[in-house]
Amino acid sequence: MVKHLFFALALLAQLVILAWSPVEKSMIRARGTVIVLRTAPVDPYDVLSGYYMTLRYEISDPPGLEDSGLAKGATVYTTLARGEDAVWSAVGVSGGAPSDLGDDELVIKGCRVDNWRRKIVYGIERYYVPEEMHDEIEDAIRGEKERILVEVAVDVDGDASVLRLRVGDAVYEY
Amino acid sequence: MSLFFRRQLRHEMKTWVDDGIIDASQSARLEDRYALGQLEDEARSTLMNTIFLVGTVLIGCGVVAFVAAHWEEISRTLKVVVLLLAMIAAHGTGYWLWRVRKESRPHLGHALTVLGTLIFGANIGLFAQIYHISGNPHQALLAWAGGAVVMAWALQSVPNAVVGVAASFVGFCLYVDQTGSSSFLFPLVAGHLLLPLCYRKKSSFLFFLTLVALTSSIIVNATNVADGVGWRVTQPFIATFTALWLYGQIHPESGRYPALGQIARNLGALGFCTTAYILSFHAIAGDAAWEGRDVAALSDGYTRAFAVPLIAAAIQLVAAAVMKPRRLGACVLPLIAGGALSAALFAPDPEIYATIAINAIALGLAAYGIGKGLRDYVRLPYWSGLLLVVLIITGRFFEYESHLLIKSAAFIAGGVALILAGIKFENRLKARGTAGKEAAHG
Repeated sequence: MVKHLFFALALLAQLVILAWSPVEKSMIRARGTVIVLRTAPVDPYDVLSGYYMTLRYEISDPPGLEDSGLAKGATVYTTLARGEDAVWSAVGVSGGAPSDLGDDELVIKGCRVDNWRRKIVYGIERYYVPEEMHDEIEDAIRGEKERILVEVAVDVDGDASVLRLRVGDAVYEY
Repeated sequence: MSLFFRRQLRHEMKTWVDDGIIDASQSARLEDRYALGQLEDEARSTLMNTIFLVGTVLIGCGVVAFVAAHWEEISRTLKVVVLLLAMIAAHGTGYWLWRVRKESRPHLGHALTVLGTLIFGANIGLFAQIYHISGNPHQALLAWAGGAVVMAWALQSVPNAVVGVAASFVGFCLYVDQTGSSSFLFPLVAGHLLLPLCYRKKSSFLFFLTLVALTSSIIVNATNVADGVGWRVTQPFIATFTALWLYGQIHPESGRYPALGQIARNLGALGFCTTAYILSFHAIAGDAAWEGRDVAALSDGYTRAFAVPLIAAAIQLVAAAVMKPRRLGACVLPLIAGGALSAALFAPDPEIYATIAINAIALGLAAYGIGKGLRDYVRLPYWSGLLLVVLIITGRFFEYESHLLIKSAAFIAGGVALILAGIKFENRLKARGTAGKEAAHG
């Protein structure tokens, strides 16, 4: 009987590990505010999950980061403000969650990494695409370098999840 | 006892019985002792295991590739349902066939549980894809490894543990590569989770893989925080391989786990000799030498890189020594070799003195290997020693920008020493031959 229990617990552990991230992301999508960010993608491949776009946002290197004193590995709270074109951009960074946000402002949580591609990661740097679509999306991106936007849901804690990719007038949602 | 030896023994025994060297009852006792009657069953069992496991791995790869294709003809919900059910079904059916059903099918059942763990990995990839989770791939691999190790313990399953070792080690390497940080927890956690399972299952293969993953991770960690400074890169190699070699030396030779000690010993000695050989090049020895540089620059990270594995190794060594030491005297060689190689890099004018010392250590090890091989009639140390000598001689002969006069003197001295040793050895053989003949006549 104990033997069976061990197996059941191990199977349960695998299911809990599997459910962890999806549950977290579903909550963000259900409760979060949807914002639009400007990005510039490239497309690598991941053995487990297939082709994806690596997204580098304007907010990946926000103004004021160098003067903030936040070291590599530190949690960064980036304040975003909605622009006139409905695209959100970074207006400030801090090491703690800011309390004095304006009406058209919200905060997104990230981690300072300072690698060659970006200075901050927010957990929204990948967008997976189907194998048969990745060439088409790549071509679309080449033709619309200035108008590539990503819709992201951000919850009150600043955690974020990617919803869809907009290249010019086309919307890609997978 | 290896399958090969037992097969050979059975083959030889037939000849011994035919030639009247042993009688039928002695043959039966030997057959019983070495379980020669079970040879066919064991061979069949190994073959079935291999077939089912290879089939499982192929199906697992297919499922992973299916997920990666991100095929849109099937809805996201259906894909999640199908893959989750596939995982639970593989685990459930496998467990039932292996452990519950009266007429059990252990090989197929076990293989299906491995398939369940592979589909678990594919599911992690699927969820990352659906939710565009952009954490580094190491997180997915470490999660996969965690699930695999839990299943390995629950089912006492070596193949599930192998998935765990492979996924965790690749995950660890990706973590170091992508974050630039070291993970000192990895060797500790992986070691304590996996080594006891190796012993419980007496699995040489799992033990070998685990040791390779652990030693590599310790070295990668320390190298990562060494900031490219030669001696700081080199010392972890020496310390880790010496510790592994010592562990193998102290490991009980007979008893329940003889093969495991031999694996640790061979792996440690191989790593140590390779390190010594690489350092025997004068330019590398010069770069790897200390030369009184950057004492103040010893960061906490580097000290931790050393302290964590060494404390863990020391605990293991003490535990092994207290339980049932093989031969404490056997620790002398690794300790002297490790200490000497480590100390050689602190020599003044390293391009000359350190190089000479390191070459002497490497040659000493080679000589020990050859001597041990000849004395105990074992091939591995003999051929390893000989290979090391050949590599050292070739390396020194073709080495560029070396001190030619020292090189010349070293070659001549080495040649003379070898010939003198040969003469002495030959004399000893002759003396033994004469004594043997006299004893036979007398």
